Amino acid sequence: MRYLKLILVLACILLIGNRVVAPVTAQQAPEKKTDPFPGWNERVAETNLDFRHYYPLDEVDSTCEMLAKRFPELLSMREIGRSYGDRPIYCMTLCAQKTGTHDSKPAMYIDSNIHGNETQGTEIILVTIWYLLRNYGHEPWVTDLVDTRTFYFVPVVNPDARFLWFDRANNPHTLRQNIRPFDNDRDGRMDEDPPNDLDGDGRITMMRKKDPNGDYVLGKDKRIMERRKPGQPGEYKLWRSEGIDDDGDGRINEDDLGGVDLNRNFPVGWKPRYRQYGSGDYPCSEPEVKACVDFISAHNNIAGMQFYHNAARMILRPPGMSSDAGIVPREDVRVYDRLGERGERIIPGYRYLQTHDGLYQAFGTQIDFGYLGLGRFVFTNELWGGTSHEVDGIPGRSPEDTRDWYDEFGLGRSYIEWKPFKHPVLGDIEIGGWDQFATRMPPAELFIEEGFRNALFTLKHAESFAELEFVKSEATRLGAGLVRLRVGVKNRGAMPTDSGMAVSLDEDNPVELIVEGGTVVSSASADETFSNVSLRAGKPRIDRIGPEDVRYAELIVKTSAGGDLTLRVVHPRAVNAETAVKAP
Amino acid sequence: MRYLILIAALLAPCAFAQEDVRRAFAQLQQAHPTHLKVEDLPGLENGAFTATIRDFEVTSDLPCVLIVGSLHFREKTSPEACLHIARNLLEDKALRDRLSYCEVVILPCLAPDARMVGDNGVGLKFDDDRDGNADEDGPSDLNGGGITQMRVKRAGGKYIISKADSRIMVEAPAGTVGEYDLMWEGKDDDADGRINEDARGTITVANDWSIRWDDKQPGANRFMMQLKESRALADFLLNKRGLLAGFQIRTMGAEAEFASGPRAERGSDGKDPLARDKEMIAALKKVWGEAPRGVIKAESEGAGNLLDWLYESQGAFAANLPLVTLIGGKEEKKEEGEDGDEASTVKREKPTEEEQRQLAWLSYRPEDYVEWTAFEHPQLGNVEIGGWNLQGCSNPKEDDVEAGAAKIAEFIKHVVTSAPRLEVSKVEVEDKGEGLYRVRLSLHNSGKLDYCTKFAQDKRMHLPVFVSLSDTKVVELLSGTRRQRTDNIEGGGVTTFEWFVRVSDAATELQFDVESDRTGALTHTVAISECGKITEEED
Repeated sequence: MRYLKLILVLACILLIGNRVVAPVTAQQAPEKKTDPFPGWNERVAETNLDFRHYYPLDEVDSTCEMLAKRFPELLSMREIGRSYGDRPIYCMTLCAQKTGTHDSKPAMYIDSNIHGNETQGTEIILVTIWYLLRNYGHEPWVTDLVDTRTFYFVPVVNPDARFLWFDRANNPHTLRQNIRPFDNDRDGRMDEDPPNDLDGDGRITMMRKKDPNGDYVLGKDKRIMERRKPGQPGEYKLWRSEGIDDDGDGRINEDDLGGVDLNRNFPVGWKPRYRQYGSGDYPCSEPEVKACVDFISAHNNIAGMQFYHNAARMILRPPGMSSDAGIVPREDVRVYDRLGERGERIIPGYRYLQTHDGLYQAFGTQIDFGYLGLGRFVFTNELWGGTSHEVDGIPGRSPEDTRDWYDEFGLGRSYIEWKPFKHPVLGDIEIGGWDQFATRMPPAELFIEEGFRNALFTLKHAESFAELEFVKSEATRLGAGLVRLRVGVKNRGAMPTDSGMAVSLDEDNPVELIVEGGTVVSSASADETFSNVSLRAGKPRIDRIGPEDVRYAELIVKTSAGGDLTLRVVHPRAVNAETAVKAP
Repeated sequence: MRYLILIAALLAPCAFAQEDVRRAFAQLQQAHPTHLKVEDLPGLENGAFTATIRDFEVTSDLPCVLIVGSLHFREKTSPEACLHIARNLLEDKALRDRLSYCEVVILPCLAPDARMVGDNGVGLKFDDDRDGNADEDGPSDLNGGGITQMRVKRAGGKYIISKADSRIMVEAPAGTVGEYDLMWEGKDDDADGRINEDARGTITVANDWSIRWDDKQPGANRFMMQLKESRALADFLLNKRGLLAGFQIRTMGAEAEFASGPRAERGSDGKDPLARDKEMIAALKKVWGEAPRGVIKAESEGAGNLLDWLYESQGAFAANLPLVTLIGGKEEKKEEGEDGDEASTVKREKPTEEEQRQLAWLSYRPEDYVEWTAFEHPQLGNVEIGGWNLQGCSNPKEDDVEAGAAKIAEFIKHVVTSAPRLEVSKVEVEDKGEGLYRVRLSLHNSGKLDYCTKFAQDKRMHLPVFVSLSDTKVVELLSGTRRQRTDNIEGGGVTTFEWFVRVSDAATELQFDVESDRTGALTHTVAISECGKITEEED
């Protein structure tokens, strides 16, 4: 009965998935919709993206290229750097040019696949792009979002590892780093003892050998290996990866390909290798990280960031290097809580956590670069993975829950039965266990719901950016060509114009109040209510405006009688506003 | 002889442009083609170059001693000092033999463009005041006398006139009220109500390094190690697997100031785990010489400096070597107390460190000081302009450069001759009968310095030394691994390696390969019959 329910859920998932991303169906006839651009709906109808499989690198690149060519009014593609293996790292910019250039709007930066084996965030990026393109001009929410914001997507930060993830045999955990050669076992040779696909089935699974001195015993399900309890006799010795002793040093698989853990190579809180494993020779030593850091640093309009990883079903906020105490301003925690708790509702089964306290301590990470380095609001989503117990559509965390779930929904390819094998060194062993596409990611057919929910979370993050509006604007003639201007500026967004962290880092920007049609003479005011403005080089500027907060300002402006004044409030990471005032 | 003329020309005022320095090194290379190579520093296109001194007939990796001209580019004379040092090393015949075992890499200036314009930092455009414009409001020469300091009388200001010498300004002591604001000469160029808040060249490579980097350190970039200059030097050094020591030439200081690592945590035995490094540093300091009494210390290198990076990230000894040593200035007598026995005593009030530094410079290079004169400032009204010029307290007298460089060269020679050098000192066997032998190889570090620092060893920064018994058909290995390793060998120390083998006869030759990415590879071959006998057990 339980599985019947799950099958129903599965059916729903497929339906929802198709509704969101599958080719346009008869019920959604494009001819009934108005084209936002000439031929747009036809181009959408001709575009057939399939999210029931995972995309090898070549297919990611060709899909991005196809979308950019087919939808140039909103989407462009450019290379922002090259990987260690000289593969291009692409950024897709989604921006409605007709409402302003990409750098004139607050932007959401989203990247994925910085860890080579954590791949499905790339498909979520494709889902996000396709959702925005397909619904632009039809769904008011999407249209407004795209007209007022910019989206920067880097689908694959670590293209060499993604290529190899699909191209060579792996287990779920191999190829995390980039491919810079590295001497893991300090024997003077690099990458000389990787896992090997001994049985030639295209996978790296596990090896077990009967051994009364081994640390493992069979579980209730004979396929599952459990660590023996104290005092319990052992039954098996277990090797997590299939392989041989390639370099004859008596050890197996101790020096796999690569490299540097790119998500420990960022220039905030970076530590040398002896403090943080995989951190690289120095911050941004890796071209993949340098490309991202240079791109993000150069785009002052980036207001929010999202990084996709797997696997633990978590929505993580910074810091990763420490607890909040003494570092994170309370007002920032409130913003994070609001966005993160909303995320928990959008993506059931996900837990919203502070990285250091909820997961582990890590130095030199992208999440700390984004927040502790730039003061932007950033999240890392750990996609898929077990939860505390098995629930509909989500495997539980215990080995039995996980295996039960995959038995039911793994479509026969997640768990590879143990088979005897004659190992050249170990003798009679068995090979079997999890497939590389299991445990860290759902079977591709079930990807879409989780994919879309994560996409929605990032879009809601972008929707929460500061949005400025004039709630008051009145002018009073004082004489001698002077006008007293009183304005109220509201931030109706859920995020402040700048985080408290940005202010403490000097990475903040004032909200500039631009008066066209007159010259600002003074910002002085006798009324304290109207004193939130200062003049710098003759330009009025308002300090940081919190979420749903209003700032009032009073200016003395020299203007001609009867002239119109145009007021604009401008902040690089907010949706800006404009209003006209009649000077009496 | 031609390069000597060039060197003489360099020492003439304003003649030491980067191209002249490079040309002089090129002349040196012509004179010493087998031992000097001048090359562009990869990754930069600003004219920075390296001069490598070694025996170029030796092709293997060698321990490397690095000499870097000051990363504080207002210290303009360090490239000339580098030239003197290079000449000194190359002309020392006694050093030639050691250059087969150790190389010296000299980097006269990492940012020649910054040095030529006189900025302390690199030429990176930076928006210090975050107003959307970069470098738009720096110091300017208001009175036509060159850029000096500017002081504005204001009760509550941060500065007072020094009691030790009325010409210099010092910070008011804690708990007292100052009388002046002090700044570099300049005006409000961008009409934002502030003066000199966004000067050119404020970002310095001297504080860009990733050990204990701090964004609040003056001169720090937005993020650590993002400057192309520091990245180019880092990449260059990462290819020098045998980096033994790195020295920065500073204008002034008290002694060879070594990086000593983070505050040591005591080991489980209660001992300082870095005690061995400290011993070696103390020995090197002794060679440099103790600081004379009253010597003025250099300003701290600050957070994120090169020396800490060399020691803690590359495992190399690292120190500042000064060209000149200045002795402290005047002290002032002060009446102390009004009651008791102390009422009649006179105590000497010691000037602050900063005050002493200024006094010493005033005495050493008075020409860098300008008398204060009244000036009507466009924004500030009545001010005074004078004090130190922008290059003040930065450069030695021309006559002192060569003498300072000579002292540094002697020190470098000592480091080079102390470099670790691995040699197979003996191979011994114990004949067990029936063709079975216990074989013991002794690997000797004939240098005075350890194979690597203790810090590097503890942090596993370097690869071990590998010693292999060659895999031949006539030598059967009965026990252990052919390829054995050791992480470190102390200066003057010996490490032994043992194998248990079977051979057909005593005339069989054993071949040993020593692999070291810090000191190079070597092969040793010996017949068993020629080996000495193992006479005593090693610990």
